Amino acid sequence: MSAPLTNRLRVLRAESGMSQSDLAAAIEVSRKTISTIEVGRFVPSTVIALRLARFFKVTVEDVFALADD
Amino acid sequence: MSFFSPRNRAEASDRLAGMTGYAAAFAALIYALNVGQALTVPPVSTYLDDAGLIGGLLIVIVFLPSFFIIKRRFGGPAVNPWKSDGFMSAALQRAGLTAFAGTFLSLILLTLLDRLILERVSAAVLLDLILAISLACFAMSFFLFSRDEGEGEDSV
Repeated sequence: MSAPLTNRLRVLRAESGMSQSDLAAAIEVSRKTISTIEVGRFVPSTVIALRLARFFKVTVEDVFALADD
Repeated sequence: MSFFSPRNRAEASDRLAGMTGYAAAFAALIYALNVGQALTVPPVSTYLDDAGLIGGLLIVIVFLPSFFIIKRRFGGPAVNPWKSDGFMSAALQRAGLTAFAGTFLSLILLTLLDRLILERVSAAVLLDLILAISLACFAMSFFLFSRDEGEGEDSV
């Protein structure tokens, strides 16, 4: 069984002063996708994870981490 | 942003996914009406037949054109709600798996009840029944997986 995933997406987005819709448009996903990732309900694909990291100019590990790390 | 003019391809994909769920629920209802029609006598069966016909026409006249308009709205490759990376696409795929399992279990159950059911109804009615179950499983699980759980705020 895989460990739950945590993320800092809401923090990174707040630091950038962006709404969910702004971020969704920037990485070409829907706002629902961003909101469900933020609350940990949806585990995104590798492609979305990489797009998010690239957008915030951080590594994927700076955005996502396993809960037991 | 109106229903027919989503902001981008991702929003269009989510919208198509939602429409797929509603269309499946509607189609399940029509197949269920067909089963009901076969098991009742006039005038009830006539009403059910008429309701099924109207439902079928609504799918053809309302759902299909709307689906096509949104699918082709952005030019280039058509928006495909099954192949997006987003949350709603994942919900569609999970619902598809649940519908497969539901259909499979229904078929097993029907074979176990063969003397009770299979000898009394025609193959056409059975097919309608299985399609109704399959589509209902798909629609219900899609709505369950994609339901709003209060994560919808959009503040900065």
